[in-house]
Amino acid sequence: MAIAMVTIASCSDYLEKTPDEDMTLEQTFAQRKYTEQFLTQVYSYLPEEIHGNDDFSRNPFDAAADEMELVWTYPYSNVMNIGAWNPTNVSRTSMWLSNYIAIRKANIFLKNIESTPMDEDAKQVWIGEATYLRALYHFFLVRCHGPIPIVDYVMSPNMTFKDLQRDPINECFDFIVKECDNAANLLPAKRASNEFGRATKAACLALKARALLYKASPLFNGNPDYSTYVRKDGVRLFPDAVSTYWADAAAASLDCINYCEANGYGLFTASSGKPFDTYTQLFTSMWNKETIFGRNMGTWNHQERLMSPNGFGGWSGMNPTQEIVDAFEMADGSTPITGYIEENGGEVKTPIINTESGYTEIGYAAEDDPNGMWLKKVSNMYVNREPRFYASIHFNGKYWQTRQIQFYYSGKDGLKNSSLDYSSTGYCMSKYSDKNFNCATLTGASIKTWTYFRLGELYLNYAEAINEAEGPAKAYSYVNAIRNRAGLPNLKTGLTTDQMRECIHHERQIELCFETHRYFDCNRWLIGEKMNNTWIHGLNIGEGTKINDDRFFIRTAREKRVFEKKHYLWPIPQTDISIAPTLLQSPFWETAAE
Amino acid sequence: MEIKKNMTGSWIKQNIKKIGWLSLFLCISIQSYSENEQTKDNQSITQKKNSTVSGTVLDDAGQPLPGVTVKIKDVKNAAASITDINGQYSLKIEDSYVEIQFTYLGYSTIVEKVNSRKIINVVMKESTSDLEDIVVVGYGVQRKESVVGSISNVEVSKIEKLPTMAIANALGGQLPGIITRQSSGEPGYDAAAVYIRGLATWGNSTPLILVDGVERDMNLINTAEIQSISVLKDASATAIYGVQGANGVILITTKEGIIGQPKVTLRTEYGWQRGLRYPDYINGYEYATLWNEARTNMGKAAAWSDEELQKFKDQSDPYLYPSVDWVNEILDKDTYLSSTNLSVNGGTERVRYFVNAGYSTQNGLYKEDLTNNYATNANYTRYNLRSRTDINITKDLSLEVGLGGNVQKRIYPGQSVYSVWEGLRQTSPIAFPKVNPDGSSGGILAYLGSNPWAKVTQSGYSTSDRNNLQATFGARWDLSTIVTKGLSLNTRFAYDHNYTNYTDRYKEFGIKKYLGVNDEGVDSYQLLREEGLLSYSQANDANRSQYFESAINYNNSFGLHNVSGMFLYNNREFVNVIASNSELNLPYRRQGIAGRATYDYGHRYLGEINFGYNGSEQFPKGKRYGFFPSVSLGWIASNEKFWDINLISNFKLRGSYGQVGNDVATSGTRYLYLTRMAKNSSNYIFGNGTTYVPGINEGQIGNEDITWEVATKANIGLDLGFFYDELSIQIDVFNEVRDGILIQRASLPNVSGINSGTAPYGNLGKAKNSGIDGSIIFKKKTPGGIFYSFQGNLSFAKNSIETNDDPIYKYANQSRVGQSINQPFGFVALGLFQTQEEIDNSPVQEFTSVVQPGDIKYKDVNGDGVVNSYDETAIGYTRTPELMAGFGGTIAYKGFDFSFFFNGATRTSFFLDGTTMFPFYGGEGTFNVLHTYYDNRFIVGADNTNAKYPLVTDSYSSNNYLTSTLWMKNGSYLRLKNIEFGYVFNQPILKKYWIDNIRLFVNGTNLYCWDYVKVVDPEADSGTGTYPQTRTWNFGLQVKF
Repeated sequence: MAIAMVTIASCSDYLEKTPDEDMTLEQTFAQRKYTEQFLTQVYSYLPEEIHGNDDFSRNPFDAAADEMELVWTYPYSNVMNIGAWNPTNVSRTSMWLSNYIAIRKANIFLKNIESTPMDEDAKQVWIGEATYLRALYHFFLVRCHGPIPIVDYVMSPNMTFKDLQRDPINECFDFIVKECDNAANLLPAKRASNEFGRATKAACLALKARALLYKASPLFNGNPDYSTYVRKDGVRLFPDAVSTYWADAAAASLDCINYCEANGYGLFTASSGKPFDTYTQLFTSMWNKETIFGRNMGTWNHQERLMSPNGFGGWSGMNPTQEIVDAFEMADGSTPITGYIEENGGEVKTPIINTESGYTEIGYAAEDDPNGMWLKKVSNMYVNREPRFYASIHFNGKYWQTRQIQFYYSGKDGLKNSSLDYSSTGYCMSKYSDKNFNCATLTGASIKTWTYFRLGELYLNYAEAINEAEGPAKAYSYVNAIRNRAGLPNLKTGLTTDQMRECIHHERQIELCFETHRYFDCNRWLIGEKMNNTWIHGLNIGEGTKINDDRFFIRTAREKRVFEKKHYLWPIPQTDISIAPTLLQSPFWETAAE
Repeated sequence: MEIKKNMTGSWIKQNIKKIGWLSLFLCISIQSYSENEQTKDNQSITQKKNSTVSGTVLDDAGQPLPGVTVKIKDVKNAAASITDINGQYSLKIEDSYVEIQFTYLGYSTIVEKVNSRKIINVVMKESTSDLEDIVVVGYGVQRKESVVGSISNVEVSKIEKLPTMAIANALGGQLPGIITRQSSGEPGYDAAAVYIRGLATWGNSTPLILVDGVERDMNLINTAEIQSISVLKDASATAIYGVQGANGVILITTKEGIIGQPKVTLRTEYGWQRGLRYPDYINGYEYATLWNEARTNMGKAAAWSDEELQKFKDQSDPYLYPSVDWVNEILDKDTYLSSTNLSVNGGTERVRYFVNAGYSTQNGLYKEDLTNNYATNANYTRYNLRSRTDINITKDLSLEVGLGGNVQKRIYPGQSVYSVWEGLRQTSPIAFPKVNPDGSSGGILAYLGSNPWAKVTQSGYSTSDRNNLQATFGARWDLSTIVTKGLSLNTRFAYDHNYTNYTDRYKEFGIKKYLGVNDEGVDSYQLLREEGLLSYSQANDANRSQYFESAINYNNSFGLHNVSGMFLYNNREFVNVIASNSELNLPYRRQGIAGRATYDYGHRYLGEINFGYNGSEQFPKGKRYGFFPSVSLGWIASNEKFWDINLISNFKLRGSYGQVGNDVATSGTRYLYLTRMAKNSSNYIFGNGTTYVPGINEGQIGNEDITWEVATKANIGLDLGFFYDELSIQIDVFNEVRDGILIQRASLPNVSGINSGTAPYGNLGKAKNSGIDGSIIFKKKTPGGIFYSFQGNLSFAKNSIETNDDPIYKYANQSRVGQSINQPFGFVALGLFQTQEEIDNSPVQEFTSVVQPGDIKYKDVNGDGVVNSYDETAIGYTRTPELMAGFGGTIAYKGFDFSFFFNGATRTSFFLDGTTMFPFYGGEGTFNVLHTYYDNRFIVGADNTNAKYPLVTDSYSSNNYLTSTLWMKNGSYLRLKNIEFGYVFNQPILKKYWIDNIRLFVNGTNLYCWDYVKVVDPEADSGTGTYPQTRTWNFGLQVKF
C-alpha cells in the first residue's frame, strides 16, 4: 500500500490540466488585442431588434403595441397581447437576463482595463465605450421594468443575493445620465467608416436626452398609481412628480441636436429629393447621416424574409394593424379617419371618416398613380395617402418587386396559398424592406443596420419636452422639419399645448412606427389601457378572389388585446424574486398572481 | 510507467480479471478449497465399501455425450472412466459417500454425491464459461458461493437469442437490477439506454461499462465474442471503482481459449424484420373536412367546397387535390438483418487461443428511388474480429494477448432521421402530390424541404465508416514457489482507437408547385427550387485511450480460514484526437489504487472489504483524490452443521454498506474548478462591411471547492436454493443516498449577469434512491429426459430529489424537491369543457383570451382561483420506468428445445403530445393529423361523451397544446420479447464429415406487445414517434466441428 501511495504521489502531475491556449481573465486583460476583443463582446449584447420576431431578438415591442401583430402564436408578444404573461414566463424573452449579462461584462471590462498595457488616450476611449454601453443596458432595463438595481460592480457567485434591492426610479435615470456625461467626455463626436457602430459622444447625448424624456413622462414622474410602491426600508421607488423634468429633457435634447448638427449629423434626404425615396432609404441605406447609434447586422436576411409576403418567398410574419394603417395622413396632411364607432367592446369598429380629406373606403382606383404609389383597381383606402404610408406598409394591390401583392384569400400571398406563414391582417410591414432582395432565391441582400438613435427621433423628443415645459412655440419648427421631409405640410399654427401634444404623439406614431417606440410611448403617456386593451383589426383575409374584391376589404377583428394596469411595467422573473424577495415584484403583478 | 521494463521487475502483475487466467487461479483456489473439503469430509467418513456406479451422460439437447471423463472427485490417481458412443460409463468406487465428477471440454463440470446410488445419469450443459461457479467481480473473479456483494449475471445463451447489433437491446428484463429503454429502431442508433438500479442523480447517470476490464462501448461487441456479463450493483461490488462506480458497473468479458483440439463453431442467421406502429395519419378527404371543421369552430367560412372535398375523396384530380399517404410512400413494411460468426477455440497447456470473425448487417425501412444509382436506405454493416491468445512462458509466467477490432459502414438518406420524421409530421396529405405530372417533387413555397419522399430519396445520401481497435496485453507471474503460496503479480495494458469518417453526399431536391393545366392546355408549374447537384462534405471523429493496471493478488487457505487480497494501481488516458476545440482535445485522465480483502471461515462466515482511492482531473489539487470504502458480510447458514432443512439447500444472507463516487457532471464539462475565457465568441461587426471581429467572453466560471458526488449505498441480499438448487431465488433490497450531486448553480439571480451557461458547478444536489431487485430460477430434468426451466427477474427503483439548487418556487406544487429525477410537470386536465356554462362556472384559464366548449379544462392546483402557469404540478411517472421485469422458460427434449421470454416495464408515463396530435399546430393546413386524434376529438354539436381530445381549431391553441394529463398515457407494457425453437442433429454419421453437431433454430423477437400507448412503441420517447421498432423472425444454423 505504501508503495502504491508513493507511486501515486510521484504521478501527482498526471491529473493536472495539461497546458493549452485557454485564457484566464488576467491573461485577457494583459494584452491590448484581447482586451479589445472583450470590449467587442460587450457590444454583442445589443439587442437585434431589427428582426422584430420577438424572443431571440428581444423585440416584442412592435407586436405588443397597437401597430402590429405577428402571425405566429409562439412569440412572446402574443403571450403579452392576450394578457397571459407573468413573472414565470417572462424569462422567455431574456430581457432581464441579457441586459444584466451585458452589464456584468461591461463591469468586468471597467474593473480590469486598468491593468492593460496600452496608450492612455485609446484606453480612455474604450472606457468611454464601456461606460456608455453599461448606461444603455441599464436604460433597456428601466424602460421595461422601471426602478431596477443599479449594478456598477462585478457580482461574485459567492456573494449573498438575498438583500438585493431596486434603486428608486430617479436614481436609475440619474445614473444613466451621469454615466452618459462621463462617457461623453471620453468619446469622439463621430467615427471613421471602419468604426461605425462604436459609441460616440453623440450617442451619449442622445441616450441622455431620451432617458430624461422618459424620466419626465407621466409613467415615471410621480405616477400616483405607484405612490405606495415602497421598498422594504421605506424608500419610495416613485417619488412625487417634479415639473422641471420636462425642461431638463428639452435642454438635453436640444443639446444633442445642436451638437450633432455641428458635427455633420442631419436629417437624411434621398438624392432624388422625393419624400417617398427619402423615407424608404432612411431605413435601407446604412450609416446615413441621421444615424446616431446603431448596429450593423450584416447581410443576414432573416428580417427580410420575416417581412416579405409569403408569395415572394417570405414568411408574411410582421403584420401592421388596420389601426396603424388608418393613422397615416392623406397626402395633403389631412386626417382621413377621426375616430371610430365601437360596438361589442371594440370588436366591431366603424371608422368615422373625415369626408373633407377625400378619403373613402368605397370603390377602387380608376387609374394608376402617376408617381407610382398605387395602381388602378387598388382600394380607395390606399389612394392619396402620405408617402410614409407607401414606404411603411405592404397592402393588397401594391406593386412590389415583380408584381402586385395579393393578400386576398386565394391570392398568391393569401391565406389559401400559405400554411404557417400568412398575413393575418391583410398587411405586411415594408419599412426596412430592400426591394432588391429576392426572398425566394435569397439573393440580392444588402447590409442592414438597426438604428437605436436617429436625429429624427431627437427632433420629436425635443418638441415633446419643450411643449410640455414651455408650450408649443418652440416645438413647431422641429415637428414641421420631420413633416416636410415626409412631404407633408406644416402643422396648423395656433395650437394649444394639448393640441400640440396630440400632434406630436401622432407624429411619433407615424414617423417612428415599427422602431420599438410606439410600445414605450403608449406606456409612458399612460395610454396603454386605452390603445391596447381592445380589439385590433385587419382585413378579411379569409375571403376574396381578386384584388378588388369587396369581401376582402371588410374590417375584421384580429385579436382581443389585454392591457391592465400591471402591464405598464414588466414583471421581474420569478426566479430572481425567489432568490431575493427584497427585489420586490413590479407594481400590481404580485396581487394579480395570488 | 513504461511497460517494457516491467517484465522482470516487481511490476509484473497479472490481470486476474480475465477469465483466461482463471484456470491457473482456480487450480490454486480449488486446490486449497478441496484440501479444506477433505478435512471436513474426512471427519464424516465412517463407512467404506466397494461398489460400481454406472449411468448415461447426455448433453442438454438430450443426446448421448461420448468421451466424458468420469472420476472420483478430489482423489489423486483415482480410477476414471470415459463414456462410450452411447454416453455410457461404469466406475468402481470404494466409498459410497464420495463425489464423482463428470468433466468434458466445453461443458460445465458436474459433481454428484453418490449417496449409495448405483445409477447416476447426468445431463451436461455446454458452458460459455467452464467455470460456471465463478463470478466476475471488479478486478477479479470470485467463487459464486463466496460473493457477498450484489452482482447479477446473465447467460450469454439468453442474449444470443435476440438478434440485435447492440447488446444493450438484449438486456432488459434479463437480469435483476437493470432498467433499459430502447427508444428507436434506426439501424446503428437503436441501442437502448441502460440504467443500473434506475437513476440516483440528475447529472451523469450512465453506468461504467468495462469490456475485459477496459472502458469500451459494449454495443460494438458481437454477442458471439462474449463469455460473461456481470452487473455490479451495490457498494461492495463497486467501491473498488471509486470515483467512477456510483452509477453501477457492467463487466463484459470476452471469450478465451480452452485446452483441447481446435473446436470450430459456425453460426449464421438471417432475420426478416417488420416495421411496427407506423404513424397512422388521416387521409386527404378527412384532412380537408377537419380543416373546414376548424374554421367552422372559429366562426369562419369553410376552406373547401363540397366539390373540392369530393375530389379529395375520389382522387379524380390527384395532382391538384392530392391525398398522399406519406408513410406508405417512404417506408417499406419489411427489411432484414443477418449475422454470421466463425470461431475457433482450442489449445494446449502452453498456448490457448480463441478467434472469432463475424459479419453482421441490418437494413433500414426506407423506400428507395430505383432511378438513383446509389443506395439511400439506412444500413449498418459491421465486421468483427477478435482473438485471444494465452501463453505459458514458464510454469510461473504467462502472457495474454487480446485483439479486437471492427469495421463498420453505415448508410443513411441525405437527411437525418429527425428531418424525415419532421417532414412526415409537417406535410399534410393534401399539401401537394408526392411527384408532379412531370416527375418532379411536389411542394409549396412554405416548408420548401418538407416533401418526405424527396427527403428520403432525392436528397443524396450520407455514409460513415467506423473502425475500432481494442488491444489488450497482460502478464501474470505466479510467485507461489518463489515467495509464498497464493501470491501473484498481474499487469495489463490496453490500447484502443476509434475512428469515424462521415461523408455526406447531400443534394437539394428540386421543387415545383403544380398549377394545373393553363389556358393553352399545357401543364404549368411554378419552379420553387432548382434541383441541386450532389455535394460532398466530409467530417471525422477519432479518439484513443490507453489503460494500465498493475496488481498484486494473494489467495490462500489456512484450515478453515480462506483469505484473499488484492491491491491494484491503474490509470487511464482518453484523448479525443479530433476535438473541435483545444480543451476537449486535452487528455481525460484518471488514476488510482484499489484494494480488496476477503475472509471466509469454513464457507459459512464471509467478510469482505473493498476500497477505491482515486483521483479525477475534474477537481482542484487537494480535492482530487477520494477514498471510497465498503464493507460487506455474509452468512451461509446452509453450510452450518446444524442446518437440517433439506428443502432449503442454500441459504445465504448478505449485507453491504459503503461509498462510491461520481466525478462527471454532464459529458463535455471539464475542469470544473477552473475559470476560463471563451475565445471567438460574441463576435460583432463594426464599420460598414460584413466581417465579424472576434470577441472574448467569460466562459465557465470555476468553483475552487468542487469535488465528487458521493453515493452511500446499503444493500441486504438473500440467496435461497431449494431442492438441491433446482429452484434458486435471489433478492436484494437497496437504499442509496447520493449527496453532493454535481450541478450548475441555479440560485444565481439574473441580476448577477451570470447566465446558466457559465454558472459555476457545485456539489449542490442530494437525491435518494431505493428499491428491490431479484430473480427466481427453476431448472429440472425429468427422469424421462425432459429438461425444463423457468426464470424471472424484477428490478424496481424509486428515486426522489432531496435538495437541489432551484430557487424556491412560488407555489409548492411547482417544486421539484420530493419528486423523482426527470419527473414530468404539467397541468392536471379535468376533461373537456362541454358547455359555455361550465366555462363560466370554472376558474378563469389564462392561457388564451377565449375558452370555448371542447377546450381542455384544467385543475386550479394551487387554488388561487385562476388557472395559469403556476398550476403546473408533477404528473405521472418518469419516462424511464421504475419497474422492469422479465420472465421466460425453456423446454428441451432429445434434440428439440423451445424457449420463450417476456419482458415489461411499468410505473412510467408517456406523453402522446406535439404536432400531429395537435392539429393545425402552425395554422391552417399545417402538420399531419393522427387518426387517434381524429377519431376521438370533440366535435361541436355532436355527442361528445366519449371524446378524449379537444376540438379542432384553425391555429395553435395556447390553451390545449400544453403538457397535461390529457395527453398522458400509461407507459407500461408487457412484450413477448422472444421465442425460439431449435433442433440439434448430432447423429454419428455427421462425424464422418468432421461435424460434431448441427443446430437449426428459428426465433422471433418483439412478437407482441400489450400496452396502453398503442400509437407508437411504448418504449419510444414521448411525442408522436420516430424511427419505428421492428419485429424479427430469425432463422439460423449453428455447426460445430
